[in-house]
Amino acid sequence: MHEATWLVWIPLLPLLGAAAAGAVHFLALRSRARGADATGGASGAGGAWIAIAAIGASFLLGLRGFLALRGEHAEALRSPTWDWIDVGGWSVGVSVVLDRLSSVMTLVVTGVGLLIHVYAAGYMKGDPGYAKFFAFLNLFVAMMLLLVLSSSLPGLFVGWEGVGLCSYLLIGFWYAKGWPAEAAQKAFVVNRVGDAAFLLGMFLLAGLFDTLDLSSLNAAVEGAVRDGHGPQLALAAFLLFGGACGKSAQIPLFVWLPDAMAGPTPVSALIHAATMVTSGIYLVVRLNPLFAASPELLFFIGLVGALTALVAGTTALVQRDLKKILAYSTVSQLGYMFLALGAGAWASAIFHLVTHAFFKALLFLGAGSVIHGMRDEQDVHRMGGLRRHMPRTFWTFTLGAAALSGIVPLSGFFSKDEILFHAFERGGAYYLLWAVGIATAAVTALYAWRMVGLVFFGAERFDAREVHPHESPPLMTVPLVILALLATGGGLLGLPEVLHAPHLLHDWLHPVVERGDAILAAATGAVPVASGASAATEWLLLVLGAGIAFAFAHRGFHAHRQGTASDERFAARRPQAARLFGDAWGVDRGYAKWIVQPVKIGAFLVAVVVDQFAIDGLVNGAGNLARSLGQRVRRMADGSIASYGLWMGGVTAALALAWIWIG
Amino acid sequence: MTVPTEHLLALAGVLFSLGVAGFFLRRNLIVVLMSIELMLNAANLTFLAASRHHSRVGAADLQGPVFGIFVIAVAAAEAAVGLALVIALYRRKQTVSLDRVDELRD
Repeated sequence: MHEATWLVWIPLLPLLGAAAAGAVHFLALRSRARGADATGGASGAGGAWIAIAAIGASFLLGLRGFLALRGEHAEALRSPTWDWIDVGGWSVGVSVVLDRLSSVMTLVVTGVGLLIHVYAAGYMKGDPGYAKFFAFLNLFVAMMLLLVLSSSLPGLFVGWEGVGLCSYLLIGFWYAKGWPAEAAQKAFVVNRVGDAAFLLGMFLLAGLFDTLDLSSLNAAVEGAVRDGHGPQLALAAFLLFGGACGKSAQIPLFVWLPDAMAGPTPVSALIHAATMVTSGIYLVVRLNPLFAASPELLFFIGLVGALTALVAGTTALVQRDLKKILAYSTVSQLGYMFLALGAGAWASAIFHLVTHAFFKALLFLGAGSVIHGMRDEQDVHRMGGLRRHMPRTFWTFTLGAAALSGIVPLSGFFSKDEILFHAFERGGAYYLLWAVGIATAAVTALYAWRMVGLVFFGAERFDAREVHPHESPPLMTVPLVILALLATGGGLLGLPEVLHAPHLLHDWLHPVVERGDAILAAATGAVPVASGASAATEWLLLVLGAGIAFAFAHRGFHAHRQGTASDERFAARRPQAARLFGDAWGVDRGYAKWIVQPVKIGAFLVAVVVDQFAIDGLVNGAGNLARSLGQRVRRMADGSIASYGLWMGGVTAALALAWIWIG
Repeated sequence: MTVPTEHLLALAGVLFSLGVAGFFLRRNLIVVLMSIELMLNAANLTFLAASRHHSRVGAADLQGPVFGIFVIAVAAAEAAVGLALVIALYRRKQTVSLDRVDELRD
């Protein structure tokens, strides 16, 4: 364990950046209020550069930490501990710990975050809240870094809530429109359900282990299992998984993520695709010994992930809003990551997390570029033929879609195939999860290429007199190109075993996950992951995955490159399926009917009956009682000294008599 | 030949009753203050009578006289404050009649 005080600057720099950008925003507001609006929309431009500089510096520090970890072969770098809570023999210390897992997360958060910041500097140009936007964005990055770097669970939880807050602020950034504010509230409330579970899980762990330090917890799990605390551990892990379900938008708590698309597109790319929604996966991997201790729970996690992947994937098939397609796609891909966790393939989940951060951020930013060029049009049925107008966006978006659908040899192919391989390798009931996963892979290829076909090919289905699609400025396309390169080449981080190439990410994360692997192996009697099934099986699965991805991508592309006819045919032939997919298998409608509606009725009853009659009656009654008593008592005060004297003397005499009588 | 204690107590009672009656019946603030003094002195007389009643030759009971001295001191202070109030009242209202001083009503 190496001491490194400079680590605290990784989350602190974006925090300071947020404060500075916020100050710029207030200065801009003041000068605007004074009417000195000569600069027009450019007021507050300084905020963007402050924010970009802050996250850039944070990225460089993260890189320095990564190189230090690699060079010294140290297990972790650690900043001095700050005693946050210290009461009655119970203490919680928080320090910044950069180990192998958090270094990967830090690089993803700051690296992809930096690109998105640069992109947003172009995308948000002219917005009246320009500097405020960057203040929120930087605050988000700071909280996300606290989440991945904290040494203890309460510190992690602060980051967890902080990113939730920033998500709320940024989804509702254009709150004046109305529906973004509602979407922000929905996201906040749904996340609250998961966070409550998280808290309960944390309390349970605190009670069991008397510590909430992450590395101590991980070290203590094995002993607790031996002492027969297995059921409590499973319950705690289940509750923490509930928190992960909320943050990472899994069944049944995924309904907030599609609505969260009300925020500006860079927000969707950064928070709702690349970073925040993956914190649930990070949490499980971080506490992998705890989760490994109960194989049944792991299977349940895999099941939830697989079902989420399929449900969200099929929903993405029929959406018409470009950002909604990507949102459901994100939910679906997060489902894949949980499927990987369920199979105990921790490193594979992180691998998919990384590649997904690349290609989904790319897709969102590409979608933002399209929306920007189309004057805020999001309906893919009213696009078409855009490849002639915005070539750079077209190429990069297509690469992203190819990576998402798992076309060889782009990054998505390797990470997704690895997950499916590990699910297959576990055997037994996991064959079912594998089957769901491979079906989802087909669906993914379909909707990814439907998107490409509808947006960039075919006839122009918009009014050319009103909308003049144009390529976005370099500030936006350069991040696209960089992300496209990463999405294409990201697979090099984890080449399949049969190719006899080193799996860089597996080797890198090995020290973090070996304890979980060992516990899982002991619990199930299974060989640790990646010990190698037969090479022939792996080849077969690779070819199968590649074939399915290619076949369905081909089909999705050719069915939709001509226009919307294919969508209409589907809706006409399979109306039930179209309706089912159209509103995400009715989950949202179910919530509206079984939870929101009863709560509203209950709230109405409480407001009318309980509040107006019982509570108001009680409060007003107390007031009225006091007043009528006062009306009677005021007669005592008649202003005559003789009567005051009578009262005083009378009462004194009465008290004296009473004292004599009792005493 | 000494005055019996009962007589002293009866006198004190009569003085106290006169004080009470003056306090409640008179309207002149100065007379009301004098009535209060009368009640205090009735109490003093009671103290002294009781003190004499409990004393024996060679063993005088001093609690009563000491109490009396304290009461006189407090009464002097009370008279100073009371008369100051009377003067202040007169300056404000040109009267010392309690009938005209009822601002605290309602």
